[in-house]
Amino acid sequence: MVATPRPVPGLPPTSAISRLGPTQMIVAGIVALLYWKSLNDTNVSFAELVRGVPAIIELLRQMFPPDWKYGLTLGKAVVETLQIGIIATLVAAVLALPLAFLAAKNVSPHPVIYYPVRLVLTIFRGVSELIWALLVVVAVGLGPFAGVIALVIYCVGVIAKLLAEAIEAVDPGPLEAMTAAGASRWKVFLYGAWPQVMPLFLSYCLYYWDHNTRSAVVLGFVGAGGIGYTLFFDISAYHFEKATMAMIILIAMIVIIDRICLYLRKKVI
Amino acid sequence: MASAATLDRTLGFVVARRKATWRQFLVVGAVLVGLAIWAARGTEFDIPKLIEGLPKFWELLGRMMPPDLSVLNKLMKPLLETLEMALLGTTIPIFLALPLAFLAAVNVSPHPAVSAVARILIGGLRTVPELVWAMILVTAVGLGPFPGVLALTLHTIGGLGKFYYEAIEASSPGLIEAMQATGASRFKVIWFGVLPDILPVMMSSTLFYWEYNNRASTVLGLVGAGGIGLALTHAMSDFRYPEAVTCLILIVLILVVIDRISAYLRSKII
Repeated sequence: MVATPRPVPGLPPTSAISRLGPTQMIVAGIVALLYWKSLNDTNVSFAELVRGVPAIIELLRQMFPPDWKYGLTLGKAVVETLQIGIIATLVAAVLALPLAFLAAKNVSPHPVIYYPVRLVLTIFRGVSELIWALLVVVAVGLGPFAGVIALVIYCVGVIAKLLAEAIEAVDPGPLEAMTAAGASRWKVFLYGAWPQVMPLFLSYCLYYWDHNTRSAVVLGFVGAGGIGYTLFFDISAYHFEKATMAMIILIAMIVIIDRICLYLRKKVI
Repeated sequence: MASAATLDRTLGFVVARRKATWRQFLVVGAVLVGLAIWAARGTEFDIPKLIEGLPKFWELLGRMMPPDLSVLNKLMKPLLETLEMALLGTTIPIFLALPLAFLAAVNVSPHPAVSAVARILIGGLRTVPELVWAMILVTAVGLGPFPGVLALTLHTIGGLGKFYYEAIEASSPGLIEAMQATGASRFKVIWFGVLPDILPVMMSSTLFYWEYNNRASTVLGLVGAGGIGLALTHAMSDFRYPEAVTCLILIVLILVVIDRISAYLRSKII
């Protein structure tokens, strides 16, 4: 007698389709429909891609070789982008700390504070930093400062939320033991919760430093200075060989930051 | 007992740490303050200026209220377009990032040189922000959602590729060795050994990028790549602020919903 093939753990089943129940079939159908509609609405098709190929080849031809000499003039813009990333991350980290404690269910003083703080954080991170920049520019005018404020708003939303989740996940054992031993609320936090949360906090800050530097480039598109501003003008003026140079510098910059982050992460955590 | 042990460990950790790093702590603090001052100067960081500007900001908010809900119907199409760009911009890269990741992962790559080239490609694609790709592609192939999807695809290949090859490199070496010992071909080792092993990580990082791309595709419109960002930019530049704020509300709402869906799917997978 031939045994019916049973799925072996770790191996894909012999016939996946035959094991689908009616619900899964319906879900699969809906998903297929969604994709079909998406492809239709966004004009993504093989034909469209083929039609785009000559334009892309022409673009690549203009992008290479990069304008190497142009790179030497970009020093100031690169420094500005770096500065935007650094100051935005530092300010956001400082502001996110207290907000995270207000937004963590287990240490927040009162639900009246907890819920509004959560809502504000959701709005902060719900709107992309680029849109924040559009709004902030109205208040403080064009320039790197607007970019910094926009990044800080967005980043506070994300870091505080992640940190609040980390605080909620803290092992309650040490906290209870310390409370039982008569430690004050402040000491419970400093010696019980903080050591568990700190490595995560630092690693979020490092991650967002990288993220902010990258975003600082994009913020240049809406007038927030730095290398993005230069890049925006190069592309608008069809100086693609200059744009390539700016992109190469950008990649080098991010790679270096990535390495620094990796090193710091190993050191600290 | 367990909690007492944890407490000991935690306190011991803190005490040891404090003794060892008190001076380092000062040094790090000084470096950070120095960096902050340097960066603040360079970026014209100016809190009084911000406070001075606040009335203008409130005025802007005042002109935005109340949101113009009559445009909701008109906004449905761009909103859908945004979601569709994100869906395709996350799905298409999976098929391109996965082979690239297998070339890049040092433990399964056919040759170290191939691995190095694949890594440079992945790193380059990931580093250039999708908005920069979008702007370049819009100039090349014209306005619309199509360059938007392409831009998301390029950036996401880099992002997913990195997640994937890190997962492949972290997959258990015993598994691969055991399969190779049975004489399985390279393809079989990957298909039946590595792939099932990394599938949960793959799905979770793909979900992460789906969320990321939904956020990104809301702003692609700023450079003319379609979606709700385009509607927002038009509303802002025509000073139709109540309409702009409707766009913003829709964006926040849709991102919250996506967040929930993603969290639900993640809890199902892992």
